[in-house]
Amino acid sequence: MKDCVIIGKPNVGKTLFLVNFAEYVGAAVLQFERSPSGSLYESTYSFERARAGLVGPNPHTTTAVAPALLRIRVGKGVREFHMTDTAGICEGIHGDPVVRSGMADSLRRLRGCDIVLHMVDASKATSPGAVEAVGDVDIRIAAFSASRAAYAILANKMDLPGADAGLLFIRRLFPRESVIPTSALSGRGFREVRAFIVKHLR
Amino acid sequence: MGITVCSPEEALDMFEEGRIPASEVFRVLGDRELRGTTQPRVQAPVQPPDPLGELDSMIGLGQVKDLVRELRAFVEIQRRRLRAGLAAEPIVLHMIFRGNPGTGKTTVARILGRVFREMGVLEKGHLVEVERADLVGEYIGHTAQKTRDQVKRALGGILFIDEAYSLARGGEKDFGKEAIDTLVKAMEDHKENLVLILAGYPDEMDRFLWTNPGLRSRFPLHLDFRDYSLAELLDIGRMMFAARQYRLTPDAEEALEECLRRSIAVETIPANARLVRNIVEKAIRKQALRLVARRELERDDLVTITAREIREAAGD
Ligand SMILES: Nc1nc2c(ncn2[C@@H]2O[C@H](COP(=O)(O)OP(=O)(O)OP(=O)(O)O)[C@@H](O)[C@H]2O)c(=O)[nH]1
Ligand SMILES: [Mg+2]
Repeated sequence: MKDCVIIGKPNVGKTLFLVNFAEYVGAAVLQFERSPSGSLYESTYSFERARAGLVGPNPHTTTAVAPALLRIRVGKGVREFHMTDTAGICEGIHGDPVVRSGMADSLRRLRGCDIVLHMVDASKATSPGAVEAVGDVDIRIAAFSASRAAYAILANKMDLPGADAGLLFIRRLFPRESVIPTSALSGRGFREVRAFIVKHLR
Repeated sequence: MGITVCSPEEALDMFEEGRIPASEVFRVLGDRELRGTTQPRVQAPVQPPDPLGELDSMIGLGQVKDLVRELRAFVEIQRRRLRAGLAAEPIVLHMIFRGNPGTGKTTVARILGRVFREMGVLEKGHLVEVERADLVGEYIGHTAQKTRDQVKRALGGILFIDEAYSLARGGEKDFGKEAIDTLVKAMEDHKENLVLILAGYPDEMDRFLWTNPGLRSRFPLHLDFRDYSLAELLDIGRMMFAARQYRLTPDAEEALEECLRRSIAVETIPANARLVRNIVEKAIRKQALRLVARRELERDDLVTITAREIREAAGD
């Protein structure tokens, strides 16, 4: 099964995007391959519970790789694939071994995947000091992924102030990549992301 | 900096263990996988301890830590902007450090040097620590020469001037003014490769900058080093004992807290890391005195510091 990985800095909105995008493509529930919380018995979430329990205002909310099973209707057929939430990758060396292990697993997953959705926070792209700020890690993710998988940058949180300027900055920084403006909150850009995925699922 | 041979799997393991940052993993992944998997192993440098990690491990200094992180991000993004053909803010990194003695100013300056070197802002990132006597000479022309010599030593790194206001102490005729003028000129001449830090007591720094507006505008970054709180001083003490492989009994902990509380109350003694270090080192000597007469010593005896030693150490 093809694997579409959402990767990026901490707190840019990866998890919220996965949850709302799954709902958008018409899934009834969010079904993870393994439990994202690490326990064995819980692998199915209602969208409400996923938003309440898996999304958080602080960095490093997600600390493990979490592949969800998605189906997209294409014409008369249905395409099944994994859309995989990952732990946000921070600059430098993180002090918490649990966080580091989640990040390492995320990079391992990135190595083997077919489609990379590289999410950045457009509203904080240039904020000095913010964990979400576009930085070295983003540049490395782009350089690594673009040549070996279907690759798009999702400039997220476009509903927030400052995001337009951030988007401009991101486009200039990555002139050769496709940049899709999104809002995991409002659903902006979901149609384009869906089209991008479908195109590369063949 | 050591070099190790490293496969992608090993790089990922090292990342997981906290020995290298993600960017280094990508370097290894990229090198290896772009060339195909039949390639032999590639080399990845083992990073020296992360200077930011070292800063984080210092007790307190919340505001300073935030600013250093902010600065790092700022410089990074300005450089990326330049590379992307965007207008970039000029990067002026001259700083004012305001704080009482023993609040970590020099240590932070030294770490900053390494951070800047890592970022490629400074070529060497070393710290040259000077005071008035190193800059000011005895006759006309002597001062400019001495100051230029210190600047030369500091090129590629940080020139740290402690109690900077002492340069302005003697009034108009004093050679200190010549030193200031020479420094200002050096800041212009070596914009790309020198960071100046003026440090000293908060009030005196304020007065100094107030009376030298030309200087003030050249130092955009101000860091305040707060005095340590009682809890922070205690943490520092615990850390110092632990680093020397000593352990405090619960009574000794209480005694240490009591001594520090008293020192904070007596304002004539600055309650800072130096005070704690003095107590720690004296207590260790007192413990040795207590033990040396004894015949049998367990490992436990050797590492334990009691309340008595703390009180004796703080007493003299
Ligand atoms: N306004 C707005 N907020 C968003 C958007 N996407 C996410 N957020 C908020 O940003 C915060 C982080 O969202 P998460 O989905 O947990 O981010 P993440 O990338 O999964 O973070 P980690 O798991 O910590 O790496 C939450 O408070 C979300 O509600 C968006 O498009 N717009
Ligand atoms: Mg998450």
